[in-house]
Amino acid sequence: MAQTAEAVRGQSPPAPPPPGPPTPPRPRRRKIPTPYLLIAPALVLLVLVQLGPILQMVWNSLHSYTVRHLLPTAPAPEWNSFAHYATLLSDAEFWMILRNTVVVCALMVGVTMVLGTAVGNLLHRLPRWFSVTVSIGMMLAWATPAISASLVFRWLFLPERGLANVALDRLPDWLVGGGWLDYNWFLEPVPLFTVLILVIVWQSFPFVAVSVLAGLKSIPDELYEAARVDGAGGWRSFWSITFPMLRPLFALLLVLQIIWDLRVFTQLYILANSFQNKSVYLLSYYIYQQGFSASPANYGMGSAIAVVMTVMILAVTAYYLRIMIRQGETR
Amino acid sequence: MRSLKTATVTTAVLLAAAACGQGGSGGGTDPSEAPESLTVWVMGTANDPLKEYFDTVEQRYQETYPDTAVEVEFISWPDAQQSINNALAGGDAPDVLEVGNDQVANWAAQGALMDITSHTEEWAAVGEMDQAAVEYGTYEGAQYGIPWFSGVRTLYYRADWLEDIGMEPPTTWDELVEVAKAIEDEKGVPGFAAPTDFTNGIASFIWSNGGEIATMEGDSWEGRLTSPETQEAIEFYAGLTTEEEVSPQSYVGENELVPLADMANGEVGMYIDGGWALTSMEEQAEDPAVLEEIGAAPIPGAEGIAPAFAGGSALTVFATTEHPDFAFELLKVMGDQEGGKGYADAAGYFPAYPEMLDDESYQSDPVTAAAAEQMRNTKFFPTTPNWNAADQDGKILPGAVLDIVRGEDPDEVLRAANEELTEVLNEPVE
Repeated sequence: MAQTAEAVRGQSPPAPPPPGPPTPPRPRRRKIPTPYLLIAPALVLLVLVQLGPILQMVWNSLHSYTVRHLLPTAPAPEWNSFAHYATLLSDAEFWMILRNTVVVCALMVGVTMVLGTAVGNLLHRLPRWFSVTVSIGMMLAWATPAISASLVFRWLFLPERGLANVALDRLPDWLVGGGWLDYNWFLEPVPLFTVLILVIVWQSFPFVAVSVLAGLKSIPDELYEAARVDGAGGWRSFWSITFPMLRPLFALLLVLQIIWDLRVFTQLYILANSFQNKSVYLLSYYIYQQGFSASPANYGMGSAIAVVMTVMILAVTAYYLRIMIRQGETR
Repeated sequence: MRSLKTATVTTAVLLAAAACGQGGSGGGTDPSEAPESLTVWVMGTANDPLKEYFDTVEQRYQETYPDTAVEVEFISWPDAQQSINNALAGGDAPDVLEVGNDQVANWAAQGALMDITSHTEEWAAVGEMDQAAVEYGTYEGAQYGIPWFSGVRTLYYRADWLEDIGMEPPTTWDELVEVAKAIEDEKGVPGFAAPTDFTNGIASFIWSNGGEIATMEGDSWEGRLTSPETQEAIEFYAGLTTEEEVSPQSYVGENELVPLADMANGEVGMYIDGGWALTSMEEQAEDPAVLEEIGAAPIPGAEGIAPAFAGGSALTVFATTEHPDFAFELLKVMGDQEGGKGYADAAGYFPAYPEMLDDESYQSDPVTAAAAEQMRNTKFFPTTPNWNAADQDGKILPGAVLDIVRGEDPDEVLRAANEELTEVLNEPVE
């Protein structure tokens, strides 16, 4: 190899191709389309890194597969005839977790989209310097690592010393009720999920806001002027101009948010303080608990729950792809 | 006559064991074949005394195996499970591994540990260790771990505050509540910490009331959480937060590490933790002078001293080691009287050799003296590989306490928890 390289280096530079029009390709019976050839390596790589693990996950979910199957001398995992799925379907806890996941995810996505769109509109109207300042502030929230953000929110809501409890306690009782100082936000599902949604929304609305701002900049002002002349208010012009014009953008943002929020783990792990409180599990959390934290770690069960979540994400992605393909058709 | 015979036999066995121990070390452990390095995994975080201890271990090991380096990695307790899983999955595995003494059976059942029966039989020092702890390191009749150190939890209290209000450290539940309320009244901080994610502490309350977590009936485990004694103890513990209000809401859902930080900063009057906590407190205290005022006493029970969980760790040889004989030789250096005491002293535990407890150094310091007294009154958790699944993973007992503190009906919570506990403890080990 080194010798070849040496030899090549030693040669005089190759003669430039002869001038003139390139020779026309010889007619072939059926040639392999060059574009496909060019993306083939990427496709192969994608199959290896994406499809491979997914197939492995499905395989795991159909076998009894725990830590002891990892040892070099261990027996192969045994086929268990869908036992993990049967257990899941008959497990009330699983259904509760699935329901909580859907509800919490819907709330996160809904609040993020509404707030993000509102702030995006606001940014569009603000003077430039002000808009830049607000954007920088939001970007900082967006760039904060999930673990730091969750810790800060946990501290904010701690009983006895958290800022939220101290502030609520100082407010008049007729407004918020009394006894807030030692209220524990992290025990019951509703208050804990409330804080969780706060963290997630705080971190993810900037992305929506900035995307919407970029979209708004692409809409010609004349449209709004015309609407104003026709007597449309802000609300009407949003639904008649902004929303239809940005529909593809909203669809994309919606799908991305759903996928991201289904996978929430870190924030919940910090807020719920490990795995002791089963009533606040979400699906992604349950996967990790079964697959890695359980003793012995149950890879089969973890994979089965992961398959359920993958199917949910694939369904959302399929909807997204359909939108993308339709857009392609209309262009 | 009979006792004389027993004595003779015992002596003969001990002599034989000692002889074997010396002769046995040559077999299969030729220094010229020793590996370049051996890896030890220790739980916890590194600090200077521990690093010095492992330098000594390496020096002692190199007296016999001069070409072998001893590499030490510190694994934090919460990461232990994943680290061992990864090691099993073919990652870099250790040769010698420390595991919690209540986890030996669990990891042995999962094939992570090597059966070291043939080695321990030839090692005389095992005979001098705490025999209950040696027994706790077995699984299905084979030895997988030998006790490295032991440690008990005790009640920590602010000695200066108790002096101010003219009270003695509590010795019973009633006194515990009384003293805690007095501290809250006089000093304006919570009197006691009752974190709910604290099986080791809650167990002391259960045991001191004559209750059990689970018992072996015939050949299966039976949960005892619904027995009147156990239920009363659990309700009392939960009531420290809800009824008596001596422990604040901020400890609900937490483990003992949160009150540890508060104790170090003078924000709680009493809490339960082990001797090792003092090192962490030193790191967390804003004003080190507070630490001078912290005293320790045995854990108060329903009436008198409560039994504490016989905590501690076992030394094991990891199943995938390529050098089992050399690894066991290293285990011996760490676990013999010199190595065991060295680690116990460096890390704030007690050696696994009972006769060393009478040592002047443990009796002179009031904090360790209280622990040494508590050491004589200890119990173990159910000896089954499923204990981890029930506790570390399932959080059955802490979860039940949490639910009761959250206001759910104790009868219902404990009945459900007890069913789950019985089921998990009896799950077949594949």
